[in-house]
Amino acid sequence: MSYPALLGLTVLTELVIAAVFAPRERRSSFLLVCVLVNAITHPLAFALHGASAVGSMAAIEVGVILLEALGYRLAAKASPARALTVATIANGVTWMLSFLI
Amino acid sequence: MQRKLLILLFALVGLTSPAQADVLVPGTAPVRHKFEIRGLDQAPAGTKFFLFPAYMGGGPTQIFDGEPFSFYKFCDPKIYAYTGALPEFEDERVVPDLPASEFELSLTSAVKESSATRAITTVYQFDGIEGDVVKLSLVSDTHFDADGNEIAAGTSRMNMAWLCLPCLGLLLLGGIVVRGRRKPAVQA
Repeated sequence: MSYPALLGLTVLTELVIAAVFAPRERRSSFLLVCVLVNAITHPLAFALHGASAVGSMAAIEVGVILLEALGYRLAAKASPARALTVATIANGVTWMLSFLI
Repeated sequence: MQRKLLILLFALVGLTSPAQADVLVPGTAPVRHKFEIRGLDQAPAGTKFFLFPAYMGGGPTQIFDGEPFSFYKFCDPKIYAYTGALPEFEDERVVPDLPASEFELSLTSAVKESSATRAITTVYQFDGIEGDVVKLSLVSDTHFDADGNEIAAGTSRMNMAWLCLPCLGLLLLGGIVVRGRRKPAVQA
């Protein structure tokens, strides 16, 4: 699968999960933040993983989760628990999907 | 939110696939690695070659000039020269008392998921038999992407121009944060 297709699939999957956990009154801004945080983290994580000097995939994933949670917290004004839950589940699901594709 | 978490948990269990013997390490992708030895037909008349061990519990596997072959990833076989009938033994701990290559072949079964490599062809040249050594020299180690195009080793699947995207995302996200600060915050 090409990189743009991978990115598209990741964003689409995370959008579905963000939609499930977004507070009803601010769903649209939550989804916009979801797209933006993925635009930041996905290319960086992919490039970092390709560079041999960088550590394990798990360490990169933890970094991605923390960055995305920070994005949801600051830009979508999600509570810390909700921000961390969405980021963890969304990235957990996309990570699992990477084994199936 | 607990109900949503429970639904997602069930969905995740549904996504999991049955465990397999050759499990890929997280973040890696499988690679087909083939080997080829050229010049075997230059060996003295009647000399043939086999690969051992090629598979767990498998016997010697005859190889031919310029014909691609592969083996199980944990075997690390050597190339042996022989005459007459193909020897028969199945225990991979056996060390055949025959001329052998100085080194073991090593198979790459997986690469980083971000790597464009999906197939590798390694070509050796047969340089003769000296005493009990089958002389081989590396000719090429060629990497191919998923479409079969030749690529340089270490090529990433991602064009580096995509790294502009995080900058754009950061700018837009920063804009949202700044704009949000001007409005009274509502805790989600």
